[in-house]
Amino acid sequence: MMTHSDVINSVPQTATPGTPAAVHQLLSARRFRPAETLPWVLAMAAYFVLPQYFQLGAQILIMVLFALSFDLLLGYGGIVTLGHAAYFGAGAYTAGLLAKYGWGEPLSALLVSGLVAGILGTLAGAVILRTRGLALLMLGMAVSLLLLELANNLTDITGGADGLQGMNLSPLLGQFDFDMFGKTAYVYSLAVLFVAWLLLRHLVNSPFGRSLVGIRQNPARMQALGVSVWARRLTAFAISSALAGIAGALSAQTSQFVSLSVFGLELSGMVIVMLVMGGTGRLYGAFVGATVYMVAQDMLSKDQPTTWLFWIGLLLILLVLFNRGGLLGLCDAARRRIVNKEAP
Amino acid sequence: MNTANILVGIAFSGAAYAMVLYMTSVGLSVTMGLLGVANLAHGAFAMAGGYFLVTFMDRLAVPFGLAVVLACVAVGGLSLVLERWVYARVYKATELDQVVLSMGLIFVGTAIAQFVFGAQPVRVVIPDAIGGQLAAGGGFTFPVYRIFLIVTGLAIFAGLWVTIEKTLIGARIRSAVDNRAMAEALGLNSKQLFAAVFALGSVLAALGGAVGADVMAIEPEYALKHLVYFLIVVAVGGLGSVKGPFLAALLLGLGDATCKILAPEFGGIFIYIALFLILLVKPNGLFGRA
Amino acid sequence: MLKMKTVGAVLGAGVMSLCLAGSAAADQVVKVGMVVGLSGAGADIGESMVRGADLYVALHKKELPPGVSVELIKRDDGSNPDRAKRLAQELVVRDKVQLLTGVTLSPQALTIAPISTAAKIPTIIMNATTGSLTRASPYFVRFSYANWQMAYTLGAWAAKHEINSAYTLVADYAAGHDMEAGFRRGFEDNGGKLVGSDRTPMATTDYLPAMARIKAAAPRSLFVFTLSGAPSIATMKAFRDSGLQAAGVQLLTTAQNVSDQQLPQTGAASLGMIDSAVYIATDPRPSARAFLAAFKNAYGKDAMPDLPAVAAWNSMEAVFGVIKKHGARFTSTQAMDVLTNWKSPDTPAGPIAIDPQTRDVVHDVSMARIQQVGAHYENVAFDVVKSVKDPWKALNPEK
Repeated sequence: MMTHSDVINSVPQTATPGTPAAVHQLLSARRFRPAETLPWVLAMAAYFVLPQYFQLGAQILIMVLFALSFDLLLGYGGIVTLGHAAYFGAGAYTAGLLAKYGWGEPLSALLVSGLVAGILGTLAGAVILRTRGLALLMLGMAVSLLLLELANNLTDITGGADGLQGMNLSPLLGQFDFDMFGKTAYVYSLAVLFVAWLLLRHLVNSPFGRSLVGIRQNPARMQALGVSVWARRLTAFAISSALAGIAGALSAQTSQFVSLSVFGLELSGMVIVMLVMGGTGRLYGAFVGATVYMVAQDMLSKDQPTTWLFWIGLLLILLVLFNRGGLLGLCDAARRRIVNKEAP
Repeated sequence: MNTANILVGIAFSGAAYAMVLYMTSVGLSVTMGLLGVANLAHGAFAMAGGYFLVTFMDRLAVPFGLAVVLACVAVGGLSLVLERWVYARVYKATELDQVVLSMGLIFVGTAIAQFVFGAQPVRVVIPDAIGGQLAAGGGFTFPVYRIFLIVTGLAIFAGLWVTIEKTLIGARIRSAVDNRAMAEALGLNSKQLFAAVFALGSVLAALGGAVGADVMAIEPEYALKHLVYFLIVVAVGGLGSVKGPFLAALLLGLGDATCKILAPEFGGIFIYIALFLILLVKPNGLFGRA
Repeated sequence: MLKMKTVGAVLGAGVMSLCLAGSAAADQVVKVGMVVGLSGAGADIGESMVRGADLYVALHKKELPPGVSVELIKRDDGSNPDRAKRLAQELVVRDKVQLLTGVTLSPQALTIAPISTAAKIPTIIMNATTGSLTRASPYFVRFSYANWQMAYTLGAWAAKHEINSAYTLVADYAAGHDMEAGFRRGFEDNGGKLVGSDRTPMATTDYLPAMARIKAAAPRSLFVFTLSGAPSIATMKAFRDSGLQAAGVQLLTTAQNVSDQQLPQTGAASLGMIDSAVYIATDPRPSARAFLAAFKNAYGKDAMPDLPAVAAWNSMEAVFGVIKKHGARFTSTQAMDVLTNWKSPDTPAGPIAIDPQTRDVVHDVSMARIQQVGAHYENVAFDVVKSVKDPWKALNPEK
């Protein structure tokens, strides 16, 4: 599936990999454009302007991170699975269990959770990436549901259907308590998201990232070029699951609670919806999609869950039928219209 | 533990559940195999069948048998409309698009169901003729309705198998599955055929949903709740096959019942482990075509 | 010049009076935050709670002091404990509620507890029924019931009435475990013998396999407890379909699993079942009759109130009690004082009181049997145990 960025950033016909034109193009993509500071400016403004919304804000940031991790897999790698929540949940439960059984320091727990999720992703990916299409979709889903059942059954450890209670988190950096108002949660999530975004941005604009796009568009050709398709896909899977695990750990730490829903199909579906809404394969789609979805859900589903469900369903149907690449795609189309109008 | 009781229990619970699963999922196998549409909203057609049945029986006092038929017809009509306006546009689209589209349809369906019928599951009144217990020798009693479900499931399977394997229509469908371009080149009107197949799949789902309401309660969350099982039956059975889902549903139903009776703490896990192993060995399912 | 000044003065006065009126009006709205599950697993319970609460407010708002009104701010937590926590926090911080209520299930209550304590917001629990819950926060007051009140009482009653063996089948979650433990304790403390204990996953839709196991153990009675709605209906049906009903096994449960709403769906399968109940919709007492009539009037003739609805009703009665005593701007301490000493002798569920030591409700528990009354089935009480305090807390004192 070609995304808009592919069209705009396509390498000129005369260039072959390694020539100055291609290198220049990669390097220019890596440079920071002023517009890219927008999300961070907005996030920091929100800190000062909307103090009652810290908890919601933290949730949004966590979902952005989760969607970002999935974009690496779906948007860049072209790997469609229905079970990304498996790694979110793995991270969440790891962080939860660590906090419950004595390891209260949040940052180290966060990293450990990411590592655990990444390892799980590597193992799972090694097995399921050999398949494609429906089988891949199903196997991805099976992993998350298997983990759900495991967590459900190991009630003594995980709390089962009632969720993991009794998480004891030490203050962040020794000073900042995770309080009811969520200030610490918000800043913490923002900082983690920022670091993760920097990493991902660097990754997708690197040769590795471009090769992923190539694999997505034409695996046979990439194989013919000597690229190990399977190895790169697995790497993408591992990184993606590690990041998802970090998002999950953040979620556990900021709400001090983990329930079985972290492994659920609903969450896996939600991240697909958020990403498609915002636009896949362009990193910022995750920002837009997750924010719009969470804010809309908060505003519209207050006490009328059916209304929310109906409209989001309708929106999805329309999005697909009039395939415009999500909200960012719509923006691109609008921008092109304006540019065309201005052209002589 | 009384072995005979256990075996009987497994046989009837498992087989009846398996038949309901089969009826609701076989349509999905056909539409996914023939039309290439990953229609996750298939469960919504089954749910609609159940809701139509309840509406006909309660509001219009239609007897059970006739109400089932009418429910199937209603859902069939609905599916034809949806096929023309929505699904036909995504036949050539990517998998992701189809998944997202069908998720949207599930949401809309769930919202409408909850709005019209409320959050509580609706009851289906089983006519006395096929309700109650059947006493056989040795102190065993069998629930008659479960027997009815098993018989219906077998009949559907037999009917489908004969139609697909032995009739001209079946041959046409098989040829379109194997090589659509060639079939069209030979003069097959695929548009009409697709619509007909889609309707057939939905009608089967509606049937499964309506008669299976006793086993799989009709509620707004139906489509999402049972989605996993439909997908498993189809993935394990193989796309585009009629036999595959039958076997897969039996495996699932009997295996699940066995676990529930002998080791209830592990009931849920069995299914996913089985799914994993089967798909790894045979990614296209037991009877799928590559 | 003069004109401008006059206009300005008039405008100023107008704006000022609007502000004053606005703030005066705002002064008299008591905001009560209600965190309930309106979608997902506990949706039917949530719907009942909202109906009961809304009905009370609608019928009794004239009783409030002049100018005072109650605003119930409902938030759907999707039966998700983490969302419940965030919603409770938002209700406190954003909407500045004076009271929290609702709370469908125990996990939700546990996640809300720290917020109630930190913000000192009295929290009236309309449903969540685990015994230890009221200890989670000093601001928790429960108006529904504690699991052991019904389960222990039922077990004790069964053992004392010639039911000497029992099998328990519960859903695998905290309330299920709690009910199982309560029944067992009451049953075994009075001489009964438990021959088997099974737990089924919460998501189970088909209970026939479970019944097969029970059939093999041949108990004299079967105690069931699952989530209300589809699971409990399915359980009753499986009980009948497996032949256990015909074999004479006595089915025992607590009233939520046989709510009057569900009786039409379970029908003959539940005939003869014995349950312990703190509320029966078809109770002949005048207050129960009036409540039932008002409920049907508001929500349709097929609507049936159940335990969560009446608990919500009773909770709102207590909220109104707080306002009537202390006005709209009551403090936490004042509210807790009224709530923890609350007594209401004539609610639709009979006399209730709150035990100030435990902040939990004290109920009469009726023993009832499902009988055929005319063309339909009803839950009919035949015995009553008065003023039951939560046995779990009595047997497990706080250290």
